[in-house]
Amino acid sequence: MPGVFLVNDFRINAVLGAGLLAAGFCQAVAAADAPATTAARGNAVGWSMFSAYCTECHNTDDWAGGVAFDAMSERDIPDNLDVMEKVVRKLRGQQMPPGGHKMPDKATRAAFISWMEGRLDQAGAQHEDPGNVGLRRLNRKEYANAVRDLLGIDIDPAALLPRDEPRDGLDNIAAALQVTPSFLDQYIAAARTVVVAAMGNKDALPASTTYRATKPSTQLFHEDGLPFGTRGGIAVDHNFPADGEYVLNIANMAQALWVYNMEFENPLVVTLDGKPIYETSIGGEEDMKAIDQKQDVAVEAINKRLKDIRFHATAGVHHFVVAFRHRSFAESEDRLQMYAPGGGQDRVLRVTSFDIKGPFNATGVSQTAARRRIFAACYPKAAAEETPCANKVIAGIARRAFGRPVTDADMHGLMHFYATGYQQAGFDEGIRRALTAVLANPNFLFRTDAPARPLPPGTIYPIDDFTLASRLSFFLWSSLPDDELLRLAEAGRLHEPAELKRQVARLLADPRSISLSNNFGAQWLNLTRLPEINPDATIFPYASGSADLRDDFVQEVTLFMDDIIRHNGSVLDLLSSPYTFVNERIALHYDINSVRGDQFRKIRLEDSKRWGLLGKGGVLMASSYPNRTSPVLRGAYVLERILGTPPPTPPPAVPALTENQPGKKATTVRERLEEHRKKPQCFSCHSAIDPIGFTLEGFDATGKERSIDRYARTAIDSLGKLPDGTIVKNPDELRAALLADPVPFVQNLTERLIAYSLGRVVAAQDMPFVRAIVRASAADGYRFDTLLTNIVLSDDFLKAKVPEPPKDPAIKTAAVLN
Amino acid sequence: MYISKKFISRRTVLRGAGAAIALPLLDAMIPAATALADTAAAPMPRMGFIYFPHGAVMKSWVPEQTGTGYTMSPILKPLEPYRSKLTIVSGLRNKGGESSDPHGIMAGTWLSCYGIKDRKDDLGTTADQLAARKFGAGTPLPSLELTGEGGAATCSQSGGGCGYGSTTAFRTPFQPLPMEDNPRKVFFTLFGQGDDTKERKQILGETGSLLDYAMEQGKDLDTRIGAADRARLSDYLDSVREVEQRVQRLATSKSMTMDLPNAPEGIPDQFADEVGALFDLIALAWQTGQTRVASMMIAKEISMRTYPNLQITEAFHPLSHHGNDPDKLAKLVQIQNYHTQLFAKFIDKLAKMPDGDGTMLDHAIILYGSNMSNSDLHNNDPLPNAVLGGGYGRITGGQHLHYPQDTPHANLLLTLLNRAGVETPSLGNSTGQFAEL
Repeated sequence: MPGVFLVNDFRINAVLGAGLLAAGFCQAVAAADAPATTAARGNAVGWSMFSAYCTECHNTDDWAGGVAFDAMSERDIPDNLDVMEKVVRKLRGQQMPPGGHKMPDKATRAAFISWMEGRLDQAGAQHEDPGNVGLRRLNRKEYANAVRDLLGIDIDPAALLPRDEPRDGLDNIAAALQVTPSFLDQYIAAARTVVVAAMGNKDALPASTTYRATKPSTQLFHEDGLPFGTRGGIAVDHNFPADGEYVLNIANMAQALWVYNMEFENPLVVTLDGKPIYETSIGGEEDMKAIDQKQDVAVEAINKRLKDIRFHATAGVHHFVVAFRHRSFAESEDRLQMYAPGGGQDRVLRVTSFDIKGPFNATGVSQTAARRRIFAACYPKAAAEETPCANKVIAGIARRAFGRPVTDADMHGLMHFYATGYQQAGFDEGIRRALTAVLANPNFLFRTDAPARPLPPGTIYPIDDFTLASRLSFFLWSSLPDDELLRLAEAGRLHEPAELKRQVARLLADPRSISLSNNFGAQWLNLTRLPEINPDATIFPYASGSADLRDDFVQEVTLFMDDIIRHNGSVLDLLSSPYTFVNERIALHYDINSVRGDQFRKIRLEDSKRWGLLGKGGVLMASSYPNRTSPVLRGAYVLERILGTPPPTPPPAVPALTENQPGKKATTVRERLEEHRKKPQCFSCHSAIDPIGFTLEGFDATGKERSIDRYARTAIDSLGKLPDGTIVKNPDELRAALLADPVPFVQNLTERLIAYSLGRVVAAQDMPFVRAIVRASAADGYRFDTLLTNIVLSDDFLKAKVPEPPKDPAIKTAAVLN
Repeated sequence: MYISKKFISRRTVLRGAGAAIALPLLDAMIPAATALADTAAAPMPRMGFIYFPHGAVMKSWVPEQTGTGYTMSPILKPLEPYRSKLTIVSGLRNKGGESSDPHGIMAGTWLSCYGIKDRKDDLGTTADQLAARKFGAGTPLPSLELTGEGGAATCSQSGGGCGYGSTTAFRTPFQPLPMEDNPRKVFFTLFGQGDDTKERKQILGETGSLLDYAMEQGKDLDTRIGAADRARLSDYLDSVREVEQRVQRLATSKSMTMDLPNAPEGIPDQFADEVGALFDLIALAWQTGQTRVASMMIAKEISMRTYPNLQITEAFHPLSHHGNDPDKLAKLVQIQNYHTQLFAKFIDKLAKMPDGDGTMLDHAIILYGSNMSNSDLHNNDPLPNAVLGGGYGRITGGQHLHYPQDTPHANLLLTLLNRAGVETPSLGNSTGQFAEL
C-alpha cells in the first residue's frame, strides 16, 4: 500500500486551507454511493479527516484529552493502536467531534471509520498479538461448578468464599482475581467443608439447618418446583450427612390470640423425595373455637402439630418439601378475599421457615449421588483392595481437577494425605483427606496459559491442548473440562479445527452451557445489579414485596437467551425475537392474561414492543432507579451494552435533576432532562444519551407498560433519536434502527464474549480479531454456533504471547482519551 | 437461602427459633471473655477506621463553635455522651481522592490520600494497613475488613478497576483487601472453623497440614510458569504464609480456650442488625486480641439502600444528589444521623468494655468519616472527620478543631498513626502532623 501512504501524506501537507478541504470532502461523498466503493472513498477521505475535524482541539498546543493528531501521520497508526481504536469508537458512537463543532456527514463518517478499521486490521495482520492472560484463579461461580462436576454436590459459593472483584463488568478477569489472606483462609476452609458434605459423615454431630422462604411470593398458588396439587410452601434440596433419624420443626403458624388467617383449614403436607411423610391441618372451625375458648393453650397446641416431626432419611441430597394441599375453588375460600397487590389480607397460612435437625442414631452412610460420583472407579471390598482403589479414585479426581494428567509427584503428596487419614479412621477418612488436598492444591485453583518451555518475550505460541481444553470448558460451561476434552488433549487432537468445531457443538448441546446465559448474559446485561434496585413499594406495589419480580425477570432473560443459543438462532434474535418465557406473574406484568401458574413457558408475544431484550422487564429495570425511570440510564445502557460505545463518565460537580416537589406542578422526567440539557456542559453528551432512553419511556421503572406519567398526568412521549440523527418514535422503531446496521451490536457482543472467554479486558490489539470474527459470522446471519465457533477458532483464542516489557509509543501521546 | 449451625455449645439458646438473626454476641461474651490486658511498656492501641459513603451535609456535621465548649451538631448528636473521647476535625481536604470518577475511587483513596495513578512504594498503601504491619505482628489476624453492604462492587469508570470503589483497605498500593459482609464468615475468620474448642483444634490441625501442602505445591508451580505469572503467584504464596502464621497464632490464642458464643447464622435481614453484628465482631476481635486493626464501610459507594425505618423510600445515592433541595437535605441529615446512631452503639459497647486499667474506648483510636464532602458535587473538601477514643491518653479529646482551607486530610491520618505508635514519616500528600490533637 505505499501508494496510499503517499497520497495521504501529500494531503496532510498540502491541504491546509479549509476551503480546499471542504471541497475535497464534497467530492469524496458525492463520488461514493454504492457500498462497493466504500474502500475507495475511505482512501480519499483518509488521514485528512483529522485536520478537518479533530486538530482544532487535539493539537500540540491544546493537547485535548492528551492527544495531538497534528503531530502524527498515517504511519503512526500501528504504534498508536489504543488511540486509533478509541478514535474509531468515538466516531462510531457519534461522541466526537463534540456537539457545536463542525461535523462530518453520515457517509463521510462511515467511510472514515471503514478506512481506519482497514488500516488497523492491516496493522493487526502484520503484527498479530493474541495477548497474554497469565495465571488465572477460579472465581467463586467457577469453583461451585467445578465442585459440582468433581464431587456431584451443589454448594452456595457465596456462603463459602469472598466476593470476586469484577473488572470491565465481568467477574472472571484474571488480573482482578487476586489472592488475599482472607481469600485463602476461606478457600482452605471451603475445601474441607465441601468434601465433608460430598462424602457424608456417619459420625456427624447433630446439626440444624434452617430454611427460610426467600422467594417473594404470596404462597396463594402453586409454586414452580413443588409437587402439583400443592400451594405455597418451600422446597429444598437438603444434604443429609448420614442415614439416620431427623427432626423437622416448622415455624409457628398460629401466631397470636387474634384469630387471623385461621378461619379456614390449611391442610399441610411434608414430602421427602415426593413421598408424603407427614400431614396435618392448621385452622378451620375447630381451631378457631379452641383459640377463642382456650387462648394461649390452644395456640400452643396448634403449633405443636408443626413441631418435633421425626422421620428417617438416608444420606445424600434429597428433595424436601413443606407445602399446603391445594383445594379446588369449590372447597376453598382462599380467593374469596381479593388478591391485593403488595399487601392486604388473603386468609391463608404460609410456610415462612423450617429447620431440619439431625442425624440422630446414625447407622451409616449409604450410597449417595455424590459418593457414586466419587467412587465411580471402585470401592474396596477387602483390605487388600484399599490402597490400589484409593490410588485410582484420587488420581481420577485429581486429573479432572488439575485439567491435565496426574504425575507421580502429584500422587506422592496426595497419597500422604490418604495415609494420614487412613491411619486415623480408615479408608473413607483417607479419601476425604486426599480430596480436600486436591481442592486446596494451587493446580486446581489456578490455570495458566504459560508455554511448556520458556520462550523469549514477545514470542507468539499456540497454547497447548490442555490449556485449550480448559479455555473451552470455562468459556462454554464456566467449569472444568470433562473426560472427553481431556482425552482429546491427551491424544493431542483437540486443536484440530474439525475437532474443535465438533467440541463446541457438543459443549453447547450440554445443559451446562446455560452458563452462557445465566452467568455471561446476566453480567453483560447488568442483571447482576437487580438485587440492589429495590422497587419503591409505595410507587410500584405490583412489583415489590410479595409481588417482587426480580428473580422472575432474571429467569426470563436466562431462558430467552438460552433458547436462542440452544436452537442456534441468530444473535440478532436477542434484539428482535417475538418469543419469550413467562410465568403468570410476568405475564400479568406484561398485560398477558392467558398464562397460569408459576412455571415458565415459551410464548409468542403479540405486543411487538416487548420483542427482544429491550422489551424485557429485567433489562428495563436494570436501567432504572428504584423510584423512577431514567432515560439517561436507559440511553447509556443501549449505548454501552448493546452498541458498545459507552458514553463518557459525567464530569465532576454535575447538578442533579430536580425531583417533583409536593405542591408544585409535576413535570415528566423528560421535561426535567430537557432543562438539564440546556446547560452547555451537559448538552454534548446528553443530547446523544437521553433521546435513546426516551423511546423506552412507555415502560415504567419496573418494566410495566404505561401511557400516562403518573405525576404530571400527561401522555408519555416516546419520541427519541439515535446519535446518528435517526428519529425513532417507539420501541419498535428503536429495534428496527438498531437492526438496520447489526455490526455494532454483533461486534460489541463478540468483544464481551472474548473478554469473558479469555478472562482479560479486550485491548486495541484484539480488535482486528474481533472484526474478523464478526465478518466471518455474517454469511449465515450471525448464528450463535457460528459466532462462538469463530471465536474459538480465532488466533486470539488459540494462541498467546509471552509478555514483553511495555515499549514507548513512537510518538508521545498520553493516550488517555476518555 | 439456608443457614446451618451445630447446636452443641453449652450456650445453645442464644435465640429462639424463627427470631430475627440479631446478634447478642457481646452480651453473651463479656462475662466469659477475659479482657486482654496490655501490660507492655508501650501499650498498642486498637485502631478503627469507619467509613460512610456519600459525604455529609456539612452544615449539619460541623459544629458552629470550635474548641471545647461547642454545641454538638445534628448529625453527630448521638456521640454527645462520649464528648470527652471525641475530637471533631474540620476543614481538611483530600486531593488524592479528587477525580472525574468520584465514587469509583472514593473509598480506595480515603486512607491513602494518593490518587490511583503513579502509585509506587507505599504511596497508595492505606493507613490501616500501615498500622496492621506494626500491630499485626503479634495477633492471629493483622487486620479486619468489613462492609455493612455487600452485593455488586462499585467500580472505577476510568480504568481503576473495582478495588478502589469497594474497599478502604489497600495492603499495597495495588492490592485491595476485599471487605466481608457476612458475620458468620467473619466469626470463623477470627476464631477458626468449628463449633467448639475440640472441633476448632482438630480443624486447625488439618488446616495447618493443608497449608504446608499448598505452599509446597505453590512453590512447585512457581518453577513452571513465566516471570509475569510469578508476580500473581507471589500473592498466593504470601497469603499462604500469612494464613500459616495466623493458624499458628490462633492455636495458641486465648480464644481457643474460651467458651465462645455460637457463630452468627448469616447475613441479617435488617441493615441495623447487620451493621450491629459487624461492629460487635470488631469489638469482640479487639477484646479477645484476635486483631488490633479494623476498617469498615457502613454502606457502599452508590448505595441504593432505602431507609424505610426512617420513612425514607428514596434510594441513598440518588438522594445524595440533593440539588440543595431542603427536603432532600433534611432526609440526608436523617440518614447520616442514623449512621452515627449505629456507630454510637459500637462506641457505647467499647466504653463499657473493660480493658486493662481502663475501657476499650480509653485505649482505642477510631476515625469516623467519609472521603466526600458535598455529595451533590462529589468534592473532597472539607471532609467530615470525627476521632473517637483516648489512645492510652495520647489523644486529648473533647474538642472541635478547625484547620485552614486546604490542610491535607493526610495530616490527620499521619497524626493518628504516630500517636498510636506507628512511626510514620509521611503518608500520601501529608505535610505534617497536628499537635493540637
